[in-house]
Amino acid sequence: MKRLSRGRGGQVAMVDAILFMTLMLIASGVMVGSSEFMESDDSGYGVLQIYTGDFAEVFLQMEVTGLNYVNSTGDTVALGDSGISAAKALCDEMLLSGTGGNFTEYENCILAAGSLLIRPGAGFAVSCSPVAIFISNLAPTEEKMPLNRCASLHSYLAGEGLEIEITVFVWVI
Amino acid sequence: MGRIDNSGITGAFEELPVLLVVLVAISLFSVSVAHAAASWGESEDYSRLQGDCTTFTELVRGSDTLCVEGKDGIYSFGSLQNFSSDSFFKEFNASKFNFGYRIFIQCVDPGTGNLSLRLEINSSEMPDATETACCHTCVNVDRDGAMMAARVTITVWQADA
Repeated sequence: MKRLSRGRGGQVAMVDAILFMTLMLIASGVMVGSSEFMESDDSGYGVLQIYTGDFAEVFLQMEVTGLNYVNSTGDTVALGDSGISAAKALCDEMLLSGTGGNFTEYENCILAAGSLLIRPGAGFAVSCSPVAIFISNLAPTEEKMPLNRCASLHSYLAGEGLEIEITVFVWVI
Repeated sequence: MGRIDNSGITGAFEELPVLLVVLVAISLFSVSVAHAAASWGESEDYSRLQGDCTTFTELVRGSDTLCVEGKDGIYSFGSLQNFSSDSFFKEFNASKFNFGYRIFIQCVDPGTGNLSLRLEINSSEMPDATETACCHTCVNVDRDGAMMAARVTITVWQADA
């Protein structure tokens, strides 16, 4: 059988068809991409922000027991079994830490209370100023916290008119 | 009657692959449009359900049945221990909402590091393979003057029409 040669017109039509298909592929990609974006960009951030506010409020009012620290002379000071709120515990630490001492056990008690309260699948951190205190169940330092975190800021007046700011961060793992 | 010559046959065979390419392109685009439309619809339904869940969570945080009188967000340990489903369902009657709900409350005890109380409240049995929205929150729990805390997880699903 004689092979029929493709005409110039047919070749041009094929180029047009491929061009059309390329445009359709790009348009399809944009459609699928935008729908995926819509799915991922739901109200998740807003829900996390509300949770962060609730968590911070409850955590800071929650009573912590078994607090103790090592003072500057090396003695362990136990604050007894009667609980104090986590916010007061943090304010006290800021006032006491000026005289030196070791507050690792003290902060571990506060951390344990927060770890018990935080919902599964979330991390939290507490950062205080003016005396830098950082407590977290997941982030070793303030810089290592994930960027997609939500924050809730609370201010307290401690003794001697010292204004203390406690920021609670929450993020989804 | 006309006679098909070699050019006519060549022309027809030339159009076939072009036609195929165009059909494939149109099919792909149609499928992606259908997929995007379905995703938008689902996303809208889910957003509405999530919004209902968030609003409902705020209502449950301030439940008259569970809270210490006049203190939203602070539950009474006694109310949780002696939970009265009648008064709770009277306050949050599922038939008034267009969704069913499940509330899971876990009281945490920082002294022992354990969960001291668990309470599950179901408006009805959750149907299988249904879309749900979930919200987490926290509340303080007043236990004889000591301020404890509780994790609250609320799941809602669309009620059958």
